[in-house]
Amino acid sequence: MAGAKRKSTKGAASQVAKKTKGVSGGITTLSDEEINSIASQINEQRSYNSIVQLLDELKSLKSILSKKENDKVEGTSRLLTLTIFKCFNKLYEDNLLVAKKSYDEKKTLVVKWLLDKYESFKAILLDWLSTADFSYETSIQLDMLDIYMSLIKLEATHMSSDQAYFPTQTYKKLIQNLLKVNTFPLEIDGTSSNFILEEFNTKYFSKYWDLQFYFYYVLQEEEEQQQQDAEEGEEERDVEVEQKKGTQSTVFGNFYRLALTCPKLLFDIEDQKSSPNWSTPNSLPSIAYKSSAFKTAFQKTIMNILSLPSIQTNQYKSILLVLHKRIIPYMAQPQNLMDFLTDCYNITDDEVVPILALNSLYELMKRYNLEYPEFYTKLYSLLTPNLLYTRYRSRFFRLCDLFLSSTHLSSNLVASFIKKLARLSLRASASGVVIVIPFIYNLLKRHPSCMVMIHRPSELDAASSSSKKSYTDTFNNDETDPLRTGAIDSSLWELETLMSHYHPNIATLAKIFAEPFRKLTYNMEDFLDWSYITLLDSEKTRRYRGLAALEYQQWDKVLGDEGNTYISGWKF
Amino acid sequence: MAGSQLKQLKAALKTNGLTGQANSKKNKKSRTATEIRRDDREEIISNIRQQFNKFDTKTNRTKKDYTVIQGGKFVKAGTAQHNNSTRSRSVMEENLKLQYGANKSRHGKTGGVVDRRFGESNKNMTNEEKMLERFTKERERQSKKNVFSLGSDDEGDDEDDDGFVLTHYGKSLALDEAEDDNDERKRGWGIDEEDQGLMPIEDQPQRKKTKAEVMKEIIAKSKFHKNQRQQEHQKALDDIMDLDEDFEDIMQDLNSTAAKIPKKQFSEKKPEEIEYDNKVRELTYDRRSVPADRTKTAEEIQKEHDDRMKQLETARLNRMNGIADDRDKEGDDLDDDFWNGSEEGGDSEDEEEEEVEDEDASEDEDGSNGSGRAKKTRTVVSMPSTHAEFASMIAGIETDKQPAFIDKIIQVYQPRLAAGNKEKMGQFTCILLDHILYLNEPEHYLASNNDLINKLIQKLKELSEKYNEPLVESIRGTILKIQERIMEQKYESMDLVFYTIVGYVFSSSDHYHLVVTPTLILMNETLSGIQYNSGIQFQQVFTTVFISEILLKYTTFSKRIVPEALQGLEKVLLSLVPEPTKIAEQNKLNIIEVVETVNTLPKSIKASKSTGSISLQTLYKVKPTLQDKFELLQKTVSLIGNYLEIWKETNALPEIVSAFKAILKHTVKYYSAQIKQLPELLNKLDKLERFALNDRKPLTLQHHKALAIATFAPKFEENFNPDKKSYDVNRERQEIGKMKAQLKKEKKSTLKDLRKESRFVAREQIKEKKDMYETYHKKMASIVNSISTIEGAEKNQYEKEKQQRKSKR
Repeated sequence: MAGAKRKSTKGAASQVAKKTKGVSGGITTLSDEEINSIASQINEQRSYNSIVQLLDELKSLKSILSKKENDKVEGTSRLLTLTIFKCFNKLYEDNLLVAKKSYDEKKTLVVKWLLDKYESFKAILLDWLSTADFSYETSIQLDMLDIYMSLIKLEATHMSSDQAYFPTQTYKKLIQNLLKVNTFPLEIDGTSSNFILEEFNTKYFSKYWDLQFYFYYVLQEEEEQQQQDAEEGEEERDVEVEQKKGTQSTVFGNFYRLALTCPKLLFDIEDQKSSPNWSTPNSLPSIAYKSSAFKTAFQKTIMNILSLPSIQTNQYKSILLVLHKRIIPYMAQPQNLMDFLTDCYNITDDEVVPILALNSLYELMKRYNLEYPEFYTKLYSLLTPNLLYTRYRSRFFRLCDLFLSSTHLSSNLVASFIKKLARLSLRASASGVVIVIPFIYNLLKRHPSCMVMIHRPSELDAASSSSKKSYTDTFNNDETDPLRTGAIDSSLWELETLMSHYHPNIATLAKIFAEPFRKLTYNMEDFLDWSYITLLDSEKTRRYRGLAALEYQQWDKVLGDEGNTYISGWKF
Repeated sequence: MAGSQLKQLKAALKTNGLTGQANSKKNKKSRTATEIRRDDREEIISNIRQQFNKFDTKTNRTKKDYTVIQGGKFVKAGTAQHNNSTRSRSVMEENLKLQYGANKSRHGKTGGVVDRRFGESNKNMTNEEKMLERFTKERERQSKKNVFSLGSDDEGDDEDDDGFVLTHYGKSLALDEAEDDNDERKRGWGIDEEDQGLMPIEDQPQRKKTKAEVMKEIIAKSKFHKNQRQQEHQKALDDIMDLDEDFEDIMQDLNSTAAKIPKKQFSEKKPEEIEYDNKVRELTYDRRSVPADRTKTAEEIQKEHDDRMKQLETARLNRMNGIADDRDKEGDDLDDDFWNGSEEGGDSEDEEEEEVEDEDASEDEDGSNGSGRAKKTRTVVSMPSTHAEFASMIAGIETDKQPAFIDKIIQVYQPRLAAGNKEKMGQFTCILLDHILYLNEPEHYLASNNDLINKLIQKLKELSEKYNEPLVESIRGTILKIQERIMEQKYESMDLVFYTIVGYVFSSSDHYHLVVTPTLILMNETLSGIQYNSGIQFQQVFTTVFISEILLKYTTFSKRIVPEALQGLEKVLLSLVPEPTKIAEQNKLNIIEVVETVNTLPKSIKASKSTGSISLQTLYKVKPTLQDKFELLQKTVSLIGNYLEIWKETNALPEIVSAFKAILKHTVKYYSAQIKQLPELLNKLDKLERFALNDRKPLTLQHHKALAIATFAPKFEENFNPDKKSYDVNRERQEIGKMKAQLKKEKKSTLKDLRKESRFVAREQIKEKKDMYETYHKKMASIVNSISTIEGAEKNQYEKEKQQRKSKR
């Protein structure tokens, strides 16, 4: 290290001359040697003013890079950033960046000035990071992120002279910038896929628990502030509102990417012991070790995020998907989510959101004793024609299976579910039918009082010949209360019809209702995830065996309009 | 039993049927029985003998009355049973002792006489067999004669060998009868020769011949004469043969000279006669006329056809109901199938070929100037290896001549004409399929190709039977490709054509079909991928309608339900009908939110004439006209009418049609004039629904035959007999059981005997040892005794002497 420095001092004078030449050329680019020499000047001769020069240089380089991709400039800026970082590192080691009482007035002034430069360096880095001007993905931004994270480390080590310290402000600025990183377009599920975020997530956030803790700790204040801002500026013009909405969904997307995709939140004491912290090997401020503090911070942050006024529906969906697993266990008071979930559950214009909210609602009911009035009525109303066509049907049926497993349910209610599902299966996709049939079988097995729906040897049979009293279906399809649909007195003709389903396996499956109910239950997991693709995949493996049966009937034409035609009324 | 011993004996013999009248009528039956038991006679007699020999039996009389356990039974002491068993035991003991003694005497000894008699150590042979075998061996050894031994002069020689004698110059080498007597003396030849050499044998006085010698001489003479006679006769025969041969030669010579004279230069036959002869000659070469198959009447042909159709129909029904006979074909039918297959293949090929030729001929006749072209193509055709090659080949040929071109290829590359043609034709079938699909791609489509495609598909159907496997494999490949297209939400007319072809060629009513089932899955995947919203595209609507049409065709026969088609038709209707939001019974619809779509028709439309059939290429219209959409609506309405045929069979008809009814009721307000069948259909729907609702009864799916509970009541035997071991009805099983029991018993007793023997041996050994020790001790004691007596005597002597000497002193 020392040797390298000495080497660079040698040619310092000549390089200064070159520098002036570069300035005269109009472009303020320094060559690598010049940067090195200036750095050594700063280090050896304490000519701190040169820092300003380097910082200016870095700023100007950014404007060059944002216009066009340039490998050389990129290299230079990388070196420059590193050099400046080294300088500050040295300054920290010399205790010139920490104001101490022992310093005299002059020295204090120097420290103050240097601190100012230090701040501006951080600002430049953040500017680099958050800029969306780059039309391409550059690794320099990732380097900047690394440098910034090292700065945090630097601060934490050098400022914690008397007590544990975490550079909250520095970290906060980084997070603010990261969250606002503009990454349009968002993914289909409303999350962002920015590569800087990705890097931050994998390299730092998911590994170091202190970063996680301070992430939420910092954010809780941040969001509050933002809310206030929103309240204040309610009378903004439309354009601005639009813009704001855009940023909000971006922030959400970024937050989702950061916070909810990392594999595990590390906040338990054990976790803290076992996993390293980033900023300092020593202990952190005591607040960081309180799990309740983390939970509170987490809760506040989540609540803030969820209450952002302009989140898109797909973003709701994606957060609902992970809510019960990734969020509820870490919250201080998950009950506060109740209103949010109830609202989601009651949404009528989208069928998927209530289905997704069901999981978290169940979690709350199970763990936190939430009571939901007329839960089954609501559940029944979810049985819409589109249910069997949605992607999340398996999720719904898993829960529904759970909700209907109680033997204390009224058979009227169970019968309503059965009948409704059978009705739906008449127009369902093959995969939907595959779910419905064993599901109904299990329900019938569990609630034998509903067996009358498939087997009602009526007294009518005996009497019908004489009285001619015909049977009328009692089921009311439009009734919303599952207790009053009259389904129990109806019959499942729909299932009987499904016995002649076009797919041989499904038709065979449907025939279980005409056979003795010997099987205890069907394992629903075997049936939930079928799709046309998996059905077709199972066809792929079949081997050709013997002649594939041919149609023996003859037609004169395949498509045409008259005469003996296979399909008439069409032509090629 | 009273009377003397003699009387008793007589009585005993009589009761056993051994004495008495031989032919008394009374005993006839029993006699026969005794005859059967002739072998038992010995036994019976020995029994009687034993009975009368009282001195042989030992009886232990006991004064006290007690019982012992013998052989697992309580036996009273002193009874006959007890005595018998004791006796048998003592006999066995004796036997064991004897055996043990024998073993002991043999113990530690080697050598001795080895019994080499045949079969002596073979336990599997009975005594008789041994004897027989020994006898035959002996005979064999005796009959082995040395024919070259000059001295052998057995009497049996002549009888055995039929006069076979070693001779020298016709004289027997055997020593003459004359020398017989001094044979004995001539043992040492050399010495005897010297003795007798001086006097020749002839000089000896003629001895009188014995009778045997005379007889032999006579026999030899007669044999010699007989031989001579035979030789003469043979010679005469040979001479006659020679003469016969010569005679033929002579006759030939004679004939040739005789024939020369009458032969003429020209035949006298008239030309008619010659012609007639020729005809006759020809006739001989003609094949014998075989009775031809009777020409079938039209009715018979019709009947045959009907039978065949019926057979195919039942096969189809079986497949539809999933009663697969494929399974039977798997295993042992291999060679049957194999031969059948090849035969059938051959037959059908021949037929096919004939047909093709016929077609060819007719075509030639049709196109009057076509013969030249046909010849040309004959030289040109070659088998394309890829579809691209085929496309370039066929591009230069006029559209209406393409089928003929394909025929030509099929004809030229018949599998029987060259090896490898079968594979080529298989490939060609696939190419044909590709070509049909290719013709339906929008960039290659020509409106004039309609007939061509129809024809090509028919060709494909013809080929599909023979080249089934390659076609099926190629179709399965195509299915995978279409699957990818569906994932990308692309709608292509060629896919629609593909579905049609599969339905057209293969039996679509099957319960499971290697090709049809995946195709069904594909179609339904397409249908369920189409979402109903305001932006539903015309393409999607069109695809849905056509696929529903094909699905109807697939399921008409088997009457299967396709839920996706139901949903699809409803979507199509909703997206086409005018003002859908005003439909009265919204709740009956299976779609939550009804919206106006881009395809919604206006309230009123000009009643335009139907242009007939809709082209599949309409799919690609970027801006479909109102007319197009209206036609789709018409098609949908008529489709629903056709689907009713399937739906009315199901119990869920009211649930199925309720939504359609609501929509159609709404539609009829606008288009009752334009779509003629609409009111009619509504009426029909109404009626069917009413009937269905009235007739419908609750399900009774669980009517199962009651299963009997397994009972375990004891089974009572009617005629129970404690002695009877088994009540098994099955005779064989009973026998086996008996055998097993016997085996077990034997095993047990053998084990028992073995144990007894070993125990006996141990006992004996201990006894011997004891004896040995005892004798030893005795011996030692006597020795010690004798020594001590001598010692005592000596001592006495010594004392005496001492005393004497003392006294002397």
